[in-house]
Amino acid sequence: MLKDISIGRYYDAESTLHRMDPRVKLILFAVYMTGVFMISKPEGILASFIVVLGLVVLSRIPFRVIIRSVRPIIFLMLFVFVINLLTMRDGRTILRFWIVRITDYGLERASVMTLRLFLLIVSTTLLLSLTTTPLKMADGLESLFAPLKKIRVPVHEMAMMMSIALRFIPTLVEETDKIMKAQASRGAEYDTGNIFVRAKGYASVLVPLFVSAFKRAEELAIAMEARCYRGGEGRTKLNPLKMRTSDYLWLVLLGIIAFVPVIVEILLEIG
Amino acid sequence: MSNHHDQPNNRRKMREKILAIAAGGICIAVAHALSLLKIFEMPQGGSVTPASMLPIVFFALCFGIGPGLAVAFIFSILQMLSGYMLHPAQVFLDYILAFSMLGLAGFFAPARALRENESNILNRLTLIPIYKIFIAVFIGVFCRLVCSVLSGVIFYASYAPEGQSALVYSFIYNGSFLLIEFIITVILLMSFLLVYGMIKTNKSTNKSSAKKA
Repeated sequence: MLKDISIGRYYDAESTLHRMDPRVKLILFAVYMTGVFMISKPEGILASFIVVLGLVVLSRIPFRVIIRSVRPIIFLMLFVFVINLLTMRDGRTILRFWIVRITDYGLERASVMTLRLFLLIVSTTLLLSLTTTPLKMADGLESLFAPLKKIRVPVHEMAMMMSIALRFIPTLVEETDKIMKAQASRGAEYDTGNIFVRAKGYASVLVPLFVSAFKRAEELAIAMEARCYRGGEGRTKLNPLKMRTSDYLWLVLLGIIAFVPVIVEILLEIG
Repeated sequence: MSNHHDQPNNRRKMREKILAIAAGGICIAVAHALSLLKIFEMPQGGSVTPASMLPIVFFALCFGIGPGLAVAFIFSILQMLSGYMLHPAQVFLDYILAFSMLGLAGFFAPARALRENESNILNRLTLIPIYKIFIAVFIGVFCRLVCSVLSGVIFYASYAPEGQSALVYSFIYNGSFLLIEFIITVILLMSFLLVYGMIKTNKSTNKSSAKKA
């Protein structure tokens, strides 16, 4: 049944990256994604490797945690590697057997593509999922998207829904688990039998789960109304986000560093 | 200002808005809880969940297209946070667009006046003809399929050498598990409507016969 109820993959630690304003991290996330995508040479990959290593040190997250977060995409990385290795026809042949021909250029491309994928995953998960709690992320998104209020996008309402969702996910996961156990004791099956047997098992969970969830929503709405909740206008926060000087400095510094590998590649091209 | 809010019409509007916010948050939570349960898992990471998109579709059906799209978008962000970001286009297609499309089910919501009269959220579903609910679910799965296939093609195009046709592979891979997801969702939806419909028949037969008279 349900073992892992964590939302996202937040890893708690005391570090510069953890303390950083979520808005800064959201912007840097986009910057790094672009930066890593602009590199295409082994030298760029090497430079990028050093940059990402710097981020890892800055986040104080143990290596095993980072490796664990990459594990689910190992298949994808293998796929990218093999496909590039086998289909690249340019370059000098270094190995030939049966219909397979591996070239030195193919090996280089395969390594570059696979490592680029790896660096992309590590840098994006480091900047977002691993170091930012979902609640802070909701705050950051609300603040970043606040200008959209002008074109009547209900930014506050959406952030409120996200906070409610985050608050209730553990509660509802527990409830789902409880209902599943109750129905299992009445003979419902979830992990055995064919797809129809399993679907039948889940059907017995879904109905009570939905009914109780919607009832909970109605009660929550009444509670909110009773406390005079009226939406975003004039509402204040207990812990408002505040950009400190260090946040601005990190934004500029890490933003520039993100493009160092790209600059290295351009310099090599010229020189 | 307070005078303005106390007019009955405004109060009803505010009540509906608060109900939408509360129900939206809870629906996202239910959908997320269900998405943690995996019936089957594909080696490449795709997985079949017990109808984890149903709460979002239900919400859109009960509250209309605008709130539906907003809730679907938030759900997509939560899914993104527990998923993988491989390519800007892939993030947009696989998570943001694929899940936000579930909000389109709001097209089939009952007319505003009709649905806002019904304060019990689940009862609003009974105002919709059953075939429309199935169409809404089908559209949701279909949009996800299109997004996933496109994202597969883009991923392949940016990570593999040119000249390879990825469309077929992507279609077969994504189609296979989304078809299972669709079947499961339909089975669960049917059993849900059956159970819920049966509970309602005793009460609603009086209502409908009264309407006819």
